[in-house]
Amino acid sequence: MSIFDALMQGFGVALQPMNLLWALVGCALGTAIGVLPGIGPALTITLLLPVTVTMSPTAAFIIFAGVFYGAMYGGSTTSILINTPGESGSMITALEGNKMAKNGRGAAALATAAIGSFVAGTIGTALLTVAAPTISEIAFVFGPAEYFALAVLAFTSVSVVLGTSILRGLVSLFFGLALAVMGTDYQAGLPRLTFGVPELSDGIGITIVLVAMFAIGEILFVASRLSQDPQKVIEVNEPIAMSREDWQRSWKPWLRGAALGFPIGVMPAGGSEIPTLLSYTLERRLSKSPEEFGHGAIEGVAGPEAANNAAVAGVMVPLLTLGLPTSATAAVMLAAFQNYGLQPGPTLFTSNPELVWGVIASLYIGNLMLLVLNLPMARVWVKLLAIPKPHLYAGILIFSLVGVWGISQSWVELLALGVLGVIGYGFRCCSVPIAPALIGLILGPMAELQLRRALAIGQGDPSTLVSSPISAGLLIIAALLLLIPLLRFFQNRRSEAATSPAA
Amino acid sequence: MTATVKTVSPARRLSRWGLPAGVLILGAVLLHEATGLPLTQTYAGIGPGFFVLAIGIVLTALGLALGYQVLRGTIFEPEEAEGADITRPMSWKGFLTAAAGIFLPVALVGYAGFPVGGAVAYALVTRAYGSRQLLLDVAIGFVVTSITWFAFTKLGVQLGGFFPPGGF
Repeated sequence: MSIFDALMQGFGVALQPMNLLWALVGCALGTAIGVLPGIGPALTITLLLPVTVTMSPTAAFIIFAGVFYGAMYGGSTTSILINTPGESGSMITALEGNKMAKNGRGAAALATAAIGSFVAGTIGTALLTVAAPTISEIAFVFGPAEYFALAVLAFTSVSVVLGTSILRGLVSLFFGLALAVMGTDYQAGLPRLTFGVPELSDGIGITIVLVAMFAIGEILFVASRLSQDPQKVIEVNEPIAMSREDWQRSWKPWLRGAALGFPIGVMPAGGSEIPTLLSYTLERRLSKSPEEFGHGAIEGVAGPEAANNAAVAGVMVPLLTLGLPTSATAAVMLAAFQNYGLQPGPTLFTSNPELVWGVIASLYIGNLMLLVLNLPMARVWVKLLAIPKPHLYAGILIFSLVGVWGISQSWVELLALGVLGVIGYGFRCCSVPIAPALIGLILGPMAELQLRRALAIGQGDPSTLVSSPISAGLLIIAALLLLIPLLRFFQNRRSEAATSPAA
Repeated sequence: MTATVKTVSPARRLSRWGLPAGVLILGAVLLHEATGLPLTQTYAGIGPGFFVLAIGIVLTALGLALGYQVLRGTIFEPEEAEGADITRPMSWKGFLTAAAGIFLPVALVGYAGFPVGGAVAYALVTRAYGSRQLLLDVAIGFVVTSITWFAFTKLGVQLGGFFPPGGF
C-alpha cells in the first residue's frame, strides 16, 4: 500500500463526524491551556488519561494530537499580547512579538504567528507522512542492542540539551531512572525500592509523577514567589490580518523556519527551543535591517513560530516509528500508548494502520481547525486570562486530584503526589529541568529490558552491545554528546587558570 | 566573591547544599538497595540489582560533583515561571498554605469524600494565592469539586462516594 493510499484511508478515519469532534475538542483544549499559565500540553494529556480510558485509542490520540498542536498556537498568543511564553518554544516569539504588539502591530504579529504555524505545521505533517513509514522500515532491523543504544542516546541528548546545566540535566535523568526501577522486577520477581509498601509493588504510576512534577510543583513554586505585578494584556482592536508587505516579509521565514524545525524535532532531544533560537538567529543574519530585531521585527516572529510548529510535527516521527519520546509531551503520549497495550514502533504501522494514519490525517485537519480557531478568535482566547489566579491554580489542583484519585482511590498515591510535588518544587528552585526525569522514567524500563535481552542473546558478552554498526554508531554519538561539553569545560578551566593564576 | 558570600544569611548558605545533599541521599538509598539484590543472573548476564547499582553510583557521583560546584560558589538559581517573580525571596507562608492544600486531601478525600476534601484543598490554594474570602472560596471549591465529581463519575472515572460519612 502506497503512502498516499494509507493517508487517504487515514482521512477516512479522521473525517468521521465523531473523530472530527474529538479533533475540535483537542484543538480548543490545547489552545486554552497554551494561553493559561501553569498548565502545559504534557500535563493536560496526563490529566486526560483517566478520562480517555473508556474511548478508542484512535479517538484518544486525535484529542492528544490536537492538544499538542493547539498548545503551540495558544502559547504564541500570550507571548505576543502579554509577554509570557506559555511554552518554552514560544520564548523567542515573546521577544519580538511583544515588542510588535507594543508598537501597535499586535494584529500583524498574531497573524504571522498563526498563519506561519499553519504553514509550517502542514509542511511538517507532510514530511512526517513521508518520513514515518520510511523510518519505520529501517527500524525493523532494530534488535535489543539497537533499542538499548537508542534509549541511551535519548537519555544523554535530553540531559545535555534541555536546561541550563548538563550536571543538573543528568540529575533529573537519573532521578527518573531511579523512579523507573521502583516496583517488582519483571524477570526475577524481586521487589526493588518498594520499602515494604505494597502499593509500590507495581512501581510508581507515570501519571502521579507527571502530575506531581508539573502541576503540584508549579502550584507550590508560584505560591511561594507570587508576582505582585498585574498582567497587562495589550489590546488589539483592528482585525487580525497582515498587509502585503507583512506577507512579503513573512513567507520566507516561515519556510526557513519549517526547514529548520522539522529535522531538529526528529532528532532525539531536538525539542523546540533549539530550532526557534536557530531560526531567530538566521532571520536576523539574513535580514536587510537587522537593527529592527529586538524592537519588533516581523521576521523574528514568523521564523521561530514556524520552526516551533514544524518541530512539533518532527517530534511525532521518532515517537511513532521507534517509540522514542524526545519531549515531555511525547513521553506522556508514549505512556498513553502503553496504557492501551500498544507499543509504538515499526510494527504499529502494520498492526494498527487505522490508528497511525487516522492520527496523522487528523494532524492536517487539526492544523486547519487551529488556524480558524486562532486567527479570528485570538481575542476570545485571551479572555481566559480573566480567570483570577487563585481560582485558576486551585482548579489545576482539583483536576490533579481527580487524575490521581481516579486511578485507584488510594491515599498512598495522594501522599506520593504531594511528596513528588515537593521534589518538583525543589527542581524548580534549582533550575533542574523536569523533562529528562520523565524520559528516564518512561524509557528506563525499556532500556533495562533491552539491555538484558541483548546480553542474554550475547550470552553475557558486553561487546554484543556494539557489534552492529547502528548500535555502535548511536552509542558513539551519545558518548560524544556527553564528552564534548566536558572537554570544553576542562579546556575553559585551563585557559581560565592560565589567564588568572592568582584565582 | 568572598564579600557577597558574607552578606548571605547562614540559612540561605545552608540551603545551597540542599540539591547536592538530596542527590547524595537518593544515591545512598539506591546503593543500599542494590546490596540486597542479585547483580548477575546465570545466563542473562545482569540481574535485578545491576541497574539499581549503576543508578546509585551515578547519582552519588553527581551529588559529589554538585557539592564541588557549591564549594566553588555556584548558586542554583530558580527557574522562570509564569506568574512567579523569582527576584522575590521565597514566601514560607504561601508555600506552606499551598502545601497544606496538597497534603490535607491525602487523609480527607478518603474519609470525607472527594467533593469535601477537594473543597478544603481548593480554599487553601486560593488563600495561598492571595484570596482573602475564605467562606466564598470554600463554597466555590465545593461547587467546582461537586461538578467535577458528577462529570467524571458519569465519564466512568471512579472517584468514590460523594460524602462517605453521610452514606452517599
